[in-house]
Amino acid sequence: MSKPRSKPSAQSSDSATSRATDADTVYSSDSTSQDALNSINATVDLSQIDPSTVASVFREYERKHEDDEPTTVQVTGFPSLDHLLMRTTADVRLLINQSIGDFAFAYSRTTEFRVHGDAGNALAEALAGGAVRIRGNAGDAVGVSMQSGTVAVYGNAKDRCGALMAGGELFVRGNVGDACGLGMVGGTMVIGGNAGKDLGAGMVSGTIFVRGDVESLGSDVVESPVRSRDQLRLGLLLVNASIRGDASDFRRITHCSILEKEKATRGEINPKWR
Amino acid sequence: MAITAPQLLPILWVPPPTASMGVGTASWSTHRGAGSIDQPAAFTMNVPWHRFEPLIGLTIAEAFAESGVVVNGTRRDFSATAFGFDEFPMLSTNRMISMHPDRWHLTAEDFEDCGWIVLRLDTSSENSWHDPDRLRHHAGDRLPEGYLERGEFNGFPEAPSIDALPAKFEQLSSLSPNAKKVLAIAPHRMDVELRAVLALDVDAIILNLRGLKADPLAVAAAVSRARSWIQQTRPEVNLWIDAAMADADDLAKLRTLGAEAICVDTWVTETLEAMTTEIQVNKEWLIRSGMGSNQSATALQLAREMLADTCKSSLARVYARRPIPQSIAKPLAAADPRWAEALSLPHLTFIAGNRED
Repeated sequence: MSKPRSKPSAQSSDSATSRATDADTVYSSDSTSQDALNSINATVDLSQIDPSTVASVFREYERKHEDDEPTTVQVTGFPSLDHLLMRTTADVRLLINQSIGDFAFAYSRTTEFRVHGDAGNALAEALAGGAVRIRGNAGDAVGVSMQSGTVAVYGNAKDRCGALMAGGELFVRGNVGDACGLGMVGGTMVIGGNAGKDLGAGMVSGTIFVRGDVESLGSDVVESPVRSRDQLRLGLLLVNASIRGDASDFRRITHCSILEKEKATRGEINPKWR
Repeated sequence: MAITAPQLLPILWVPPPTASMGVGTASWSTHRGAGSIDQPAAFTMNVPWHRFEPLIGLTIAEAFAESGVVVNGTRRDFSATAFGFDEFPMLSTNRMISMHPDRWHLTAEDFEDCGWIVLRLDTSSENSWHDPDRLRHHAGDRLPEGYLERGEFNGFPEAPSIDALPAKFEQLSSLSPNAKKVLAIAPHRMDVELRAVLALDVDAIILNLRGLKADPLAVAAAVSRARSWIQQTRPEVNLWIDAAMADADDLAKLRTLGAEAICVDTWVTETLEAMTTEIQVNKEWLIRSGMGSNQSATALQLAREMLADTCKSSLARVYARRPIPQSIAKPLAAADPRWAEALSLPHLTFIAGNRED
């Protein structure tokens, strides 16, 4: 870090709800989710169906061709708010209009989840594809061990966000807690607000983009110059996550060996002047 | 893995002849054939499958599963072969998966057919996540050069505290309703954690002695104490031991001290290496004998032979000893008075003199 920054204004683990207010004033609303709300194709009441047949029920709504828009299915009647819709692989868009508990959507792929409410801990654990959008706040360990896909939290997230991430993209519009990006080995994490202590601790690869203040970085983790290609990539990622923002406002956090490698080779960091 | 000399030397068998080969009711081959292993006597925890050819790994894993060993591995550990799990029935039903920090190996399908899921409550004594080979194998070219010499990362437990365990167990039950749940704990916090863990819906507890620099007597005492506590509270819960010891005598003694199953990673790795060497040395012969036309069957047969060559006698030694928790002291005795007192074992003394027949 070029200079030490102040601690995020609200870092305690129970302050996720209050931090959401800050985030919403900085960013605009998620228009894509609003559109989805207006075009619900079907509703599935889980309390009315056998839990063992849930997967096959969703498969009935899968799109027939890749070019088709995914079918939007509103899901209601959850028997439990914890470990919701884990291992879901149907090619549909599932809409949930309430807050959800821990371990939601873990080990899922292909499916697009949209939640209008808060999420608990370990949201999208080991996600292997698809997308998760939370129009609220999330708890600890968002996207832990995720391998692929997109997770977007439009509020704030608590500690260990993106821990052990191996791939995919993780966006948090607001603030994140401590030890985010812990042990990260791949993928991209974008933090629109502030970050707590030990950002990127133990990370060996992957990239973190952060816009606000960082309380402290993990050892061997450095702030690297944002190259034009990073700006371009970040801009596209922000559009993909329906987050408004200028890529040039963000700073890039990487493992120091990545920066050294970039310095050692000719390129934007180490230009070949004639 | 550092292999130590027999650490439990001061413990002796009483009577000694029962420890010899072939004595005992259990047989290493009794589990052969499709079916589930309800009471395993051995398991694997962290075998480096990625270092070996997938077909070799797959067939060795199946051969060990046939021998009654619960094999720890994900589908991705055994992928990149042209063979489905259907051809390896024992492995598909007796597989254990770890919710390790490098959980990106796990897929939704792993939870469908695994027999056991293991969680860790503590990772402070391990650094498996930083295994350079394993990380490179799974992360590929995403990793920059030179990062391993700099990074410091002491693991990431699946359950950071006992308070978080009930929710995690509930998640596992939802992910894989039929799988048995195993929890690995560290011995240094056993006094606090074991009682709390036994209140949960756990099927087996692994006492993780791997990498522990402790007095051998302390290791033996920890196993004996853990068994006693389990016996008082939840006698149906199995006690498994994950230790670096590879000596069959020591492992058999641990079983007699009250452990139901012991970790045999070293033996599996040795067998994998032996089969790799065998295939390299006798490649042409194997191709002529049908490895090319009926590859999986030939490889499986070879794997069984390799297993028999490398560790059949060791496995038989371990299986010959059934744990007898109700009367822990009876089958063992200690030659050292300190050990006898600490483990409540009879003190075996030797009287010099000629024996008259």
